[in-house]
Amino acid sequence: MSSVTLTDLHKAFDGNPVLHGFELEVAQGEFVSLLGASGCGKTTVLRLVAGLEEPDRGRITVGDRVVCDASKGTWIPPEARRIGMVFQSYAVWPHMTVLENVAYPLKVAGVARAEREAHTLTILERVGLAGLEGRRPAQLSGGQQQRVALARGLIMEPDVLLLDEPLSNLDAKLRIRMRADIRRIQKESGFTVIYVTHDQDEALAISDRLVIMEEGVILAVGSPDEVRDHAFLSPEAEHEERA
Amino acid sequence: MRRRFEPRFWIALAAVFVLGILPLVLVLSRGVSSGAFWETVTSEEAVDAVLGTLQLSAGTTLLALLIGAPLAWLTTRTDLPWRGFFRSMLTIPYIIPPYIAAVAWINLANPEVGALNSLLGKGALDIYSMTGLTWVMALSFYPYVFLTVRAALLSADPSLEDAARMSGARTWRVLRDVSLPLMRPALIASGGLVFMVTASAFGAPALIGNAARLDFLSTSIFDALTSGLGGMAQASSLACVLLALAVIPMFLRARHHAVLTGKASRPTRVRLGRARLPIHLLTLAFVAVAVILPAVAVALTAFMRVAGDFSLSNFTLENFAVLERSDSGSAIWTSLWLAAAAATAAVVLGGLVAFLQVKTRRRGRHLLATLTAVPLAAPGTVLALGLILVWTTPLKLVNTVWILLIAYLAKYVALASRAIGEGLGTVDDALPEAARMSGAHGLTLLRTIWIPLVLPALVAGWFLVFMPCFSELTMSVLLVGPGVDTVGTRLFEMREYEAPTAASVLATVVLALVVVTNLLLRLLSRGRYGV
Repeated sequence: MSSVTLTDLHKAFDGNPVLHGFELEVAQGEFVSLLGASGCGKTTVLRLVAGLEEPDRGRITVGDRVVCDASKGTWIPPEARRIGMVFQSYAVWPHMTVLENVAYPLKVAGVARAEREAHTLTILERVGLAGLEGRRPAQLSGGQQQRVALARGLIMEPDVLLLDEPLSNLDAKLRIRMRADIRRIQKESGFTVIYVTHDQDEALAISDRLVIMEEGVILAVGSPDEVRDHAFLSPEAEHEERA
Repeated sequence: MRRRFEPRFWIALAAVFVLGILPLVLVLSRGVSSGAFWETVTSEEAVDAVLGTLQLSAGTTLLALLIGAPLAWLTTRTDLPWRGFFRSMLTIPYIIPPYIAAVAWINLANPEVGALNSLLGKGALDIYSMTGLTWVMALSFYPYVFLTVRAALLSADPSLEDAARMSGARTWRVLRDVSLPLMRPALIASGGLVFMVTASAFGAPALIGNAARLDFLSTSIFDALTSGLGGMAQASSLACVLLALAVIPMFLRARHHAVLTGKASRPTRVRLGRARLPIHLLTLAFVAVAVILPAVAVALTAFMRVAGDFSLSNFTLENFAVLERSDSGSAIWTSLWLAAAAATAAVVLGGLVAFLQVKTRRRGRHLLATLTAVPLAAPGTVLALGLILVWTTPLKLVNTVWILLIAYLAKYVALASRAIGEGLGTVDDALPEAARMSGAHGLTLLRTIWIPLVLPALVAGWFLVFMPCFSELTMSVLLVGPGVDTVGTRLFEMREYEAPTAASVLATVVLALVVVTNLLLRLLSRGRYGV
């Protein structure tokens, strides 16, 4: 289990600054949501932690390991960070079965076939996909693909799991069920979660702590009870977001 | 509302059928019904030609895939420096006719006086070989692979690859397990296309193959036809075999994976790390050798008294006197006005086909579009044979410029209809409907609404037909003999019988015109067409 510390992160795309001096500390086993409108920089923070983007400046620490320090040239590539990630588009590989998709991280790590299949089947059961291991992604519903992506993120038992708008492509009813499932699994295993969303109801329901962002700046940080009355979460703001 | 009888549909169908389909049907029936069909196609020469074509096409396809696919990946998915520059440079061979590349490489790697051989020692490189020809063909056709794979990678959701990295896979592993399977449909489609165009190619195989004593189906068809008596039957039989070979790749179908994607995010650039500089230099070297060197070779040779001699005193403007000689000078004019006329006719016919396909719901509109595209895919030698069969009696058009106009229109009208169809697809149906409610119909509607709305596509279609027509060689050398000269036929004769420096002058003219027209097209279409 690991904490995540982001120190003085700077990132610009094509000269447009997205983050300037972003700081955040996520405790071990904590469930933190980054909440904000699209373009506020929340996904960039997530991709920096993952190692899919490189900061122009700043340092990222996972547990007691510095995974990135721009001033010292320290850089651990994403494949070596042992961080799980669930993508907004699911990123389920269309040319592999459900089993092959979920077992892939174990395969890369060199786990023997029998062992990784057994392990995969238990994970599939945990996310509610028992019996579907032979299917192709094209034969799955959106919610099922989402579960495949979640299972793949969990199978390495990562210390940190990153979720990028994981529920935004699902219908309302499924969304509520999935977020309960994610929270349950996290509480069972105790890993650290950074969760990106633009849906404030979702963030309030699922998180230990919320980080409200706008244009790369943190407007407020706190438990759901602490930030519930923040101006950003006014009904008007929500209305705008929906529109 | 819908009329039962639509003359414009039947006019378009009849034109497309007579221009491009009837000739192919006649070649097939003539070839197969010929009494000597089996005798011809099982003769030693025919078997040699088939094997030569297969070897050349397979080798070219393999080499084009090996060149095009890695370059596509490097310029879309990595932190390779100068990606935009490489994309532009690497696309250039797409617009240059392969026979021009052949002239260039003969100047460079001719075993006697090739420029590279003067540097490396006589006979170090020999362009007159299967390897040499494969090299030239692959350098001409790898852009099909490069562009198709690039498009596939750009439209694929990059988080599929990100997810593999987050699963612990390193760069090579990601490539093997995710990127490559995702590229597979593009690799198979573009590889099949390279195979087809290589099997169909005539100019470069003839220029290089003759001296190397290599036989191919396309060159054998030409030889049979020009050999005189009984040649037509023999040529038609060989044409049937070539048509069959060129069609094979169309049955190769990759299993397409259903595209599962949400929002495509900004692609994560693979860090090449320590390999970045070597790969950068290697790519630069490839651009220099494959794109810049041949162009320079053609242009420089045009100014040389004796090809391959780089001493300053050897440079001269004398060769350009070739352009003043009536045959070459008039060849350029003939090619110019023929290409312009064919392009104009193609915009009219292609525009009609596109309109019927995109803006009506008439039955048979897709069949019409498919028939229009068939001649473009058919080998030029085969189409030319068919046109000779159609236009010899009662109309004696063979050996006149008119048969060339018909041939160019038949072959390239699909390029115009495709571009115009894309343009029409973006026009909201409410715009012409509003004009009709305002009282416009018929030609008024065409002139005041349709043409202004799709003008950019009409212009693009015109240029897309003009360019290949101006430099057309394959059909031209089969359809007209001495007396009618185009750039292509002059160049072909010169290369065979005259000094290479004179051929280089014409090649330089073609090169300059193609580059200038392409730039013009790019400017006019605001970067949508052209390279």
